[in-house]
Amino acid sequence: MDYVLHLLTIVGIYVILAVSLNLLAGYTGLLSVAHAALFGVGAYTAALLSLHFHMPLLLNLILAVTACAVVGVVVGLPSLRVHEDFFVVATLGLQVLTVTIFNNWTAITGGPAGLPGIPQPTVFGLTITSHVQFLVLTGVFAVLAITVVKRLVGSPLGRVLKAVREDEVFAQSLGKNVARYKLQMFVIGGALTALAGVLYAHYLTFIDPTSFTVQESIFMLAIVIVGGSGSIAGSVVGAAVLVSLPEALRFLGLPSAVAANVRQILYGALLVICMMFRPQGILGEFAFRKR
Amino acid sequence: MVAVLEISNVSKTFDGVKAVDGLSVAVEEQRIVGLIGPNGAGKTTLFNLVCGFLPSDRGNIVFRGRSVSGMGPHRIARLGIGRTFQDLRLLRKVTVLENVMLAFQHQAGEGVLHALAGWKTKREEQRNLERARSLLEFVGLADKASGLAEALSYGQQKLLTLACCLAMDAELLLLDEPVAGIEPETSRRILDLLQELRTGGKTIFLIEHNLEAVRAISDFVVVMDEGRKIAEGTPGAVMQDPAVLEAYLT
Amino acid sequence: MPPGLLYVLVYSAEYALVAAGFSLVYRTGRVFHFAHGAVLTCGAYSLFALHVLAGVPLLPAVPLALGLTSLVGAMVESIVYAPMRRKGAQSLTLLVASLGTYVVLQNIISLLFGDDTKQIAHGAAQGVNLLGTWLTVIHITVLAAAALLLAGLAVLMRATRTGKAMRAVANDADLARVSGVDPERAALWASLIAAALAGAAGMLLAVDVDVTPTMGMKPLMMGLVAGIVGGLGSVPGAALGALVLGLAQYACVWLLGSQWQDAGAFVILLVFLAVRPYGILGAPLRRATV
Repeated sequence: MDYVLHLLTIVGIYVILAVSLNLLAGYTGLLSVAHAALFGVGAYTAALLSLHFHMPLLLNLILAVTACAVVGVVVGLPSLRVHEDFFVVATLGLQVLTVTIFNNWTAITGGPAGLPGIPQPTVFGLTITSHVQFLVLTGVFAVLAITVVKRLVGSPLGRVLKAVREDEVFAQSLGKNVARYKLQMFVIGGALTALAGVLYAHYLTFIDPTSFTVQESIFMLAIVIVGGSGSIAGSVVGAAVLVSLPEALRFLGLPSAVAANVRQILYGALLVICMMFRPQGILGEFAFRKR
Repeated sequence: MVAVLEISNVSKTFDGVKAVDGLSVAVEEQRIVGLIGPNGAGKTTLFNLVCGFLPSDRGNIVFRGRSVSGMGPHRIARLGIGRTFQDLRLLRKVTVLENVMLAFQHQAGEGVLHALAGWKTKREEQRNLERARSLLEFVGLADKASGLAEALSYGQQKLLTLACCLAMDAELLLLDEPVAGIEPETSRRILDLLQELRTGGKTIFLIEHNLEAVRAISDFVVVMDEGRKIAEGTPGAVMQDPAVLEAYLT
Repeated sequence: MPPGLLYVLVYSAEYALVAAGFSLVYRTGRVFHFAHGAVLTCGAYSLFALHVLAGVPLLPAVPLALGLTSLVGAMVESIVYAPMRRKGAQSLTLLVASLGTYVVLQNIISLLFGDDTKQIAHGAAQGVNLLGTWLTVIHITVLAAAALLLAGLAVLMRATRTGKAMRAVANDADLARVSGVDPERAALWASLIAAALAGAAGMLLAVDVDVTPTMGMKPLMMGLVAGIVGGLGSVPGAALGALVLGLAQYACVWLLGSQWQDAGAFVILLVFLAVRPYGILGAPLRRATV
């Protein structure tokens, strides 16, 4: 039973990551492979604040959200000047750079050894310890993230985002300040990944750079795309399926190291297959195309 | 007569080629001004310069007494200049109605806070929905409103882009080939609409290769060739100008 | 001669190889070939498998490994990119497919060889003292190999039919088709040659440092930056960009310390993307009609 709760919690964290990346890449057309780096910024911020200052969860959250929003803007700035392919390169560079910082700034981040012993979070005096409590907390954050994204994309703002994705020039000719919308989405997307990062750090009580690599970024992208870029339900389903996959493999008797590789091969292959046959993913409506 | 748009001595060079060369044009209010010239004359480039999609190398562009040289395209659009494109830009995978709703200005729901909170948004959307429907009726697309834009015929899509310009409440419309490649019936409808819009107070500056259409509705015609203005005047006078005929023949 | 400045040449040589191959696929294949990093890793592991595991002596092992790597590159092109291009996939779609391909290839290598660090032993502690810098045999091999390969590539692109075909397709695929050049074959050749270059870079890196399944990502990034700085689309561009990047990193290490050298690369990338995305030697793309 505990194991199921654990799995659900991890799925919940990835739902937040997928939904926030979907806002950026699926709805607004800003393809970023720096999402894992943002996730890491949130996690490390929460971990450090917790370890050194023992702050309650909500305060932790506010600061992590701020940090991620700022880094999100840094990730987003190149998108204002360069075309799509090159923007991905810029995000890749930032992703690689961030992980390098995680690995090298040993004094603060603990380097490759990471940060162990992250204290459990306290919300209004209540310490979250059990699996059930964590799952509830994750559920609340996930619902928050989904609600934020759903409201945004269902509103007139969502219409503008579609225009930014499909035809920036058209959007500008109608008076939409495309640059401002892009940056706003990076702030919000970044802020949402902070939710996931804070949860992750407190839940696992140990973080290290290997959780925030470029392969993780691509994994998140795979969830968004396979589930359907432009579909929130797709991101939820995609997260559930792709995160649970290695568990299914383990039940088939594959040793754990092999399972990790097979899982990655599967999602990599799924990504390729999706791009070849159904760029809009399983549930999504918009093909990954831009003018 | 007041000039809504004043283009003074504007130049733009690409890769050593002068796409627009010291051009000066004045577009007077409540007029339909046609911009004609052989392919590659620089007409679309001129539109791009006016709308801010390209920065000019030299010269000045003034809209309603306000210099717009160097402004970003979205700001110029908000000042009241609507634009259609030669290669027909619109959102194809979205409904006809949504395309028009996108074009409305000053929507509170487009701001993050209002989008999240949803305060004024519902009522505003309702109002805009009604406005959009009546605009679509005006251009004759009311029955296609809920369908996807890609389901429209080419001519209907052009009508849609015109409806978007109107939704913007733009007073100056820059139309790039509004009737090119459309069957005569829709073409006629568009031309009639343009004349109605002029009577209603709009100013229209259009690029067209269809010289018949230009002659039919323009009050004034400007001719470009190789980036320069080679003639301007009433349609009748211009189309008999030997310099113009030569430009088209060579 | 400031200490270590000559080492810059060695790094730059490796970056240039990666950049040259990448830009070949980018221009002729019109794909942002992220999987190039995994192809590089294939080169390293091919050599490892042949030389260390199977005991094949270096001389036949190197060309065999190059051949194997080229095969991998060609397979990626024909299985993934070519069918998508035929269906009219957009560049972003191809790019995402390339990301997935990178993950698949890298993990296949992990499965086959394990995640632990491997080494390709060499008895090459000898070296020479050049201008106050100690260059080992490996360093000299890297420099010589890179110079030869890049020069060879430049000749191939200018003087051979295949090279001219690839350049024609890079310039304008439709025009090339009309002139009798098959863009698909040109793209295939481009991926073969690019894979060989990546394989060479991988092998040189393998002999110089360690071999791990994820070893390709950093060189790919550096190659990308070098290509963007110098201009994606020419051999001199790749070489120049690599040199500029190497020097900039050297300056970073010297001024700020070695942990900041990646930051330096990233800053240069951003600066060029913002100011001159087509690179020092590249030509600005014709402004697409708005």
